[in-house]
Amino acid sequence: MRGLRHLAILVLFALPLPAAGQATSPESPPPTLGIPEALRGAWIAGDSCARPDALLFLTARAAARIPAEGEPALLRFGALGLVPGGWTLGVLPEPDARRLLLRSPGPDQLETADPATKTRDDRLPGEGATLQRWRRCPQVPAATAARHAEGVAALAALEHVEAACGAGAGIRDCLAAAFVQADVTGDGALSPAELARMARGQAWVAVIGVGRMPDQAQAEASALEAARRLLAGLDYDGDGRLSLTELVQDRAAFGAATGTAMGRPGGAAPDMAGLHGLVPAIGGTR
Amino acid sequence: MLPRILAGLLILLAAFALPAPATAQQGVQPRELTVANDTDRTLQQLYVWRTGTPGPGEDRLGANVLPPRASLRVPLGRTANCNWEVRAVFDEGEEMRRRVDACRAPRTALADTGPRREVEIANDSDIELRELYVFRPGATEQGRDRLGTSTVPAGETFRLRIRGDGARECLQDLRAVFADDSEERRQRLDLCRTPRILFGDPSLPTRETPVVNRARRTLRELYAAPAVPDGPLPAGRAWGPDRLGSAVIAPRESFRMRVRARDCAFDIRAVYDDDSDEVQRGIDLCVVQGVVFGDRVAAEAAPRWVALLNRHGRTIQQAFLSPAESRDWGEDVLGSAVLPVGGRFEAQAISGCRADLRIVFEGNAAEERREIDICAATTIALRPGWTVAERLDEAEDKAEAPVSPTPAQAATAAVPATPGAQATRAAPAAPAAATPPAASREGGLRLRNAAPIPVVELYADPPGASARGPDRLGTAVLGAGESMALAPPPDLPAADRCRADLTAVFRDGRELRLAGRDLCAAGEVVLQ
Repeated sequence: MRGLRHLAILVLFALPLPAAGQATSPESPPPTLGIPEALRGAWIAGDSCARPDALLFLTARAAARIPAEGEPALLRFGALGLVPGGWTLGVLPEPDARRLLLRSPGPDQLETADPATKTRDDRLPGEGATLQRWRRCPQVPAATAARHAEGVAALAALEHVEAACGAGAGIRDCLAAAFVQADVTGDGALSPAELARMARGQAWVAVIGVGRMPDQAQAEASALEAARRLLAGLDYDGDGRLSLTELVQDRAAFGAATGTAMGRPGGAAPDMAGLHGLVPAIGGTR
Repeated sequence: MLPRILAGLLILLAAFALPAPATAQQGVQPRELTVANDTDRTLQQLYVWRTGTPGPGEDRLGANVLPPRASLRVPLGRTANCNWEVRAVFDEGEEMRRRVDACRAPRTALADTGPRREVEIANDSDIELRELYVFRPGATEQGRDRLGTSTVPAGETFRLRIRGDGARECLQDLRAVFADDSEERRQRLDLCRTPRILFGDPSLPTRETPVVNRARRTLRELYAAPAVPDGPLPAGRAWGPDRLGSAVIAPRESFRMRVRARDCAFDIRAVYDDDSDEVQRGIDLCVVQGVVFGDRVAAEAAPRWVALLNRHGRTIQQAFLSPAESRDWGEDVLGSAVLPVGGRFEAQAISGCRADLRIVFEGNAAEERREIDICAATTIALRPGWTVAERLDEAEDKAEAPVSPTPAQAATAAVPATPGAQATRAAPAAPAAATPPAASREGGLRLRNAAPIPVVELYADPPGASARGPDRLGTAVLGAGESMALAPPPDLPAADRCRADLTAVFRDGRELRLAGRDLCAAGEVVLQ
């Protein structure tokens, strides 16, 4: 239940943002190396394309493994590099620094290896590595696509946003990148459906990330609620859609809100009683 | 509840579908009334009776309930009568009544009046919000817990539904009860104009860190309290609420612990499903990348050892080292051996840091001490007064020879020798070793990996040894940012078990060599 409640707030715009007027640390420029283009996309394990033993989706910086039975896994790499043997090495940003090796032994073929945690980097893949072969299929089973394609799209969108929110980016650039990823119709405004789509996708990323298979019905309900709340809170012109201007309103900068020297606190102000209810909401007074 | 509701509805529908018995009123069509529960509360009782009769008759729901937004077809029988009375009883006894003309309007809705509103309740504290009460200012009854059977975990929200827009309905007092029974109140809040209400102190910074369970047991409870200065933990220390709430951490799983406080340094206590516990002290939550419990070397790959030194003037016949939470003493760690005067015995400690120790002399006189922090005190000098001494290893520095207890000390420490006989763990692997006490005071060494990559091999070998011994990490690694306890390995020479050359091998092949380290000295070694 705790996880499901998280789904309601997992929208793309909840990503960590750089501080206002600040660039992110210049000491950690985003690595440009990603998983080779030729390896990205959907792969299957097993003899049957219609009933694969497992599916593997590769984006530029992530691998999502979804077995037919058992727990899925989402590996989002903090670092990627090349190691001898034609392998691309992905390393997870966690204490044990789990790794995944990827290489293509031939056209439409992929080989992955999970090295043992203790194997040194100069001995990869090393003894104890779990090897698995994958292949391309003309089509991914329709039911699988219906269940996971939106989540994979959200994963890819997340990488675009993380790239845009990296070193040197301001909040406006960051939010604009998220906006572009969410705006599937390209009409410059986000409809409730587009917001819900991003929320569903991010819920998929979150749930797969903790090794569980998403529950579509619950994700749908939570996503709709998240979209509704986002619109209710940010749709200032009330047109039922969210524009980039509305999204960055009072978030990208402090702007010209410098006040006026006229008047004084507690002076002949209009009745402010109606605003009193906001005080606990904003300040959380005890 | 849901199966019960569904079962009840099915039974009612089935009963309605049965053919009606032949009666004298066969010419009259069977009549029914549909009652819709359009509230957001559960209908507990429903009575329908003909206007003018005594009523109300039997509860039409029987043992069932009617959930929110569900409806029920109530058979009225073959009757020409149109006027019926309806009485509905909701949670907490609140009632609604309707007088209906079943001939003209065969459906009646039970609905609340006034607009429905939602207020977001945000738990900005670091512990679970367990109960929430909303009541009119000055009311003596605070009504039902609005959270029902659910709770609001730390950092999460709950949508509170209210009805009405008049001052009477909008102006309410709120009382929140947290998992540690602490409370917060908000008085005279205008819920109709307050979209979000925070509980907790949002001005406090949030310390959040993953807690990893590396043990082979489930981690059942997790506590964090501001660190106390070095030294024994105060008895009966208040650890505060269980940070896991209703969750647990399965082996190899992790949990993001969230603490709101200005402090950075915390003592963290984990309790496993076998009731053993483990305490890590002085963890800087502002710096660490994670906290690992079930240290592989300390608790699994290399069990913790506690050195018992007999500085009494008489032989110790039995010794019992038992988890502080255990109800029985378990087996004699000395086995068939005894611990002679001046002798030393390396006892294999159970998991967890808190233990009780009981020693038994000839004639069944016994001494015992509770709640010993065996992670901090890896050597215990059993001497007169050890049961109350400030430092358990103090005699290492001061006592040159065994001394006899004073009569007063013997009298206060002696207790009847009646240890429980029920064994709860394996017997010790080694017999008593009557070696002279070590010259140095023993403590405990912690290794912290400050590098961004794991340490994959760790060696602790006799100083100057040409060949490496076993990898002290076993099959595990010491992850980036993680720390572990390193007890003096029992395979090192007994004469100087405390001193070793340490070699840490990082996963990129880099080696860090620390020659002649004192493994018994308390402190931390940073590997990077």
